[in-house]
Amino acid sequence: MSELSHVEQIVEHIYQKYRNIDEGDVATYIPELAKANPEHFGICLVTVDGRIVHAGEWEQEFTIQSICKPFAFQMALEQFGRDDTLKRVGVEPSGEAFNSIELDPKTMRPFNPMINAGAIAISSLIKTEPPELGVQQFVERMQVAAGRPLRIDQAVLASESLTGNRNRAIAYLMLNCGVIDGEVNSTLEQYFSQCSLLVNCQDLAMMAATLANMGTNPVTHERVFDFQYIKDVLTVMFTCGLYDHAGEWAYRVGLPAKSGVAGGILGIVNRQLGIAVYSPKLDAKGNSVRGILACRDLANELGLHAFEFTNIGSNFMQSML
Amino acid sequence: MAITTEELAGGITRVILEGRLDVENSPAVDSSMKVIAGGRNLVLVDLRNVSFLGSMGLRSLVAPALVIRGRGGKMVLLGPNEMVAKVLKVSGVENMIPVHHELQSALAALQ
Repeated sequence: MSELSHVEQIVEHIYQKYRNIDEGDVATYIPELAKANPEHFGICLVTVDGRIVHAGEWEQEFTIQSICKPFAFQMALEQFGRDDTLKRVGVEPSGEAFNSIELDPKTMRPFNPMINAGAIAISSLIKTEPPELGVQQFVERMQVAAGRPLRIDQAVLASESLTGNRNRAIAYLMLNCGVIDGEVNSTLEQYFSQCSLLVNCQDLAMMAATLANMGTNPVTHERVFDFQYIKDVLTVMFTCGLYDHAGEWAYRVGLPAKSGVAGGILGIVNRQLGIAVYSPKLDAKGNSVRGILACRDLANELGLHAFEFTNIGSNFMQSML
Repeated sequence: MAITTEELAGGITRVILEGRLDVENSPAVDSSMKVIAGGRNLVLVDLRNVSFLGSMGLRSLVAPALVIRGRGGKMVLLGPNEMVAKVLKVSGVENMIPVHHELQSALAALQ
């Protein structure tokens, strides 16, 4: 049996093991998300040499939601560089919920780009005025990373815009503190549009594999991201990607990852693998219940944790020893 | 996953594992191996009927090996299939626990 067949077997086994877990609730704070089918459960892995493994409803589309945040952060770093980007957002875990209305009291910046406040600050950087071009640039970049045409779910976008008063409040707080500029509506249009991008598990796994593969899509071989900022993005995903579950995640799974309230989770094994799981029922912290269970098993079975004893710290250092 | 043990001549304990050493099965292997590692100094782990070795399963082999070695004993592995041998090699575990492909050489290494 080839190694990939073993991986296929593991992925299928994990799918079967957790498909009947019925805990958690579908997100309802964006009314359109409540329409998701709670039964759906999909898993996809893409290796950096372009091999793909699926299980379950991997073709089911859902909105990317907060999983857009690391990609927007990457785009801001590429466009503005580290220094200017980090003037707007920190890289500290907040330990707070995703929608926390709080800035770092020392710097008056959002704690990190993975919570809503930080992501809105990043959207303010990469938006355009009027906002259509900035949204288009984001969608185009995601398409190249996914390797297929993508589109925004207009119903979810309308629902987000209509009910996003908390995010509006966060944006105005940041305007008041001088973190973002006065074009608040364009910033929020950019942010809500990013969150409303429709993807499936394979799209997410391909995007994750593109980050894992030094910014090059492993199937189309198109260069998508500047590799010199990927380390920045993966670091913030590792420490902050699952909000107030981030410490527990780092402890049990040990991978850079990002979750979204539609039920997606994206994980990255640097230089090796992209992982995506979708299942819309969420735990109290807003993370997919089956997604977390599946990622834990994948990490345990495949030795993915960054500090697993089989993982040698630095290949570069190996050459020096 | 089946785990059986037998006592061989020369104070050697042979542990025969059969099935998949994966996330599901490694806790049971862990507890059996812990007992064995606690009281035996010469241990041969027969992997000839292990079809799959995952990361958790690997820990179930390394942990008792370190305990036994720490007490001055020896543990060896016998007969990994191609997949299992590759995991042992890539993880560097074959440098920590000697791997043998023939029963006689495994027994000789323990004497």
